[in-house]
Amino acid sequence: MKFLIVRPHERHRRRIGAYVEGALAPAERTRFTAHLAACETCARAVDETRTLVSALRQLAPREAPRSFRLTPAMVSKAAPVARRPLIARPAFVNGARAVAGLAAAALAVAVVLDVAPGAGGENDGARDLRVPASEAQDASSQSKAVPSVEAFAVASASASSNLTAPTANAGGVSGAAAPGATAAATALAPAVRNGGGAPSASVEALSGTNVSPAVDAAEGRDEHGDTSGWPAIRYLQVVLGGLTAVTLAIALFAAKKRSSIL
Amino acid sequence: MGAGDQPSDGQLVLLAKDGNLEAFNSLVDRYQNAIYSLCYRLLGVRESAEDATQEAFLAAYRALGRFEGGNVRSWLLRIGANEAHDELRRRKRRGFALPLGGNPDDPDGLPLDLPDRAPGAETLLLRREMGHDLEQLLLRLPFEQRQAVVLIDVYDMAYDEVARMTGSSLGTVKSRVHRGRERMRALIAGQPELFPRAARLEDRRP
Repeated sequence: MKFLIVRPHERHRRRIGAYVEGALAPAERTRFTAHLAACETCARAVDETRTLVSALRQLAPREAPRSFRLTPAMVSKAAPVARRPLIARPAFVNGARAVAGLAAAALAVAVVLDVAPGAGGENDGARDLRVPASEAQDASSQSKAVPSVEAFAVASASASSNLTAPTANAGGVSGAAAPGATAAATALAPAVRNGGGAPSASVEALSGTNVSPAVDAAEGRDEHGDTSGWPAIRYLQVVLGGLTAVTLAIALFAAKKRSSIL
Repeated sequence: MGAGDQPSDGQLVLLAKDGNLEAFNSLVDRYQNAIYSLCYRLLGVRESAEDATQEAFLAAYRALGRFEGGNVRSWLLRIGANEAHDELRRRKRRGFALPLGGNPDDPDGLPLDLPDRAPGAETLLLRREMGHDLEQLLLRLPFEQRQAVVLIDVYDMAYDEVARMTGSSLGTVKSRVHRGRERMRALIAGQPELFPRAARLEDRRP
């Protein structure tokens, strides 16, 4: 019953708190005071709120039941991140990191096997995979000749929409995947150098947009043949690249979220 | 105690930043009642409040490098409120429900009906007793309303400060405080036996 009576005053009730705190603008205060004189419900609400707030303000602190001083052991044990399992979910993040690392390593191996002369059956060695130097220069002034293998790996890791069939596996992560692509490319650079003797490219130049023309070039070459004719190792590379990107993105996102808490 | 003899909060923070644990522990001594009270009022269970308080001071020590001056008390209260929230979620996940309406077995809480008291001590007891009832009432609010009411009304924090620390808008905080106070008011009005002393406080006003 009480609430039914109070209901029409909702508009005014919203002002009660500000009125009690003295936070109403002068004009509004005058209007509200006039209303209080005419409205018993609001007048009582003001009284009760005032009593409540003043009682809350006087609430004396409790005595701490023990000392919460920090000991040197507590401090050293808890150096960077003690237990914040709720926010951090460390097992989850570490798992994602481990998978990302393994996937990147496996990707590197798969690419080396693919590129190494004589190793890949259907490819005529590394040279066949190379982008013509002129096109690569268009793509990025910093990298003289981006080996298409590298471009391919980056593209699969960054889930660029330029790529068609095989990249579908890695779709949906384009926003957060850039670090993954860089990591994959970093892992690849020495492998390519050792394996195929291909010219190395500066990893820094391989950011998403710069590389896409080179990717198109690589893609263009592949599209001449039917994509269904791809060797299994290519699919493996794509899957591993996608996995690397996704897991790295998860690990990075979770870590970032944790650091923004405090 | 002479204020001049005591190092200021800011001085203690500077020392603590240089790795002086003793200086930090002086801050712990200074604020542990406030932080523990906050955690207790947000959680209603003594052990949980102790855990949250300890975690809060540990977190504060680790976050010293990011403290860029300002009010040390507010900074610690902010960390304490966050730790209490974490503790609440930890408890929920483990399936421990925190008692609504407080814990009657809590050794910290004064019993509602006290034995005869000396007249001289009445004012103090009245305050403590009422404090206990108020805490029980606060525990019947949803956590976010309780947090807002406690920080703003009990700890006198500013609305925008609470908005920043809880990551909500100013309007949301105002609305939470409003609804929390209304709810407490309704609880008092609906069950006067729950909180008979609120009215008495009003009577005592000059």
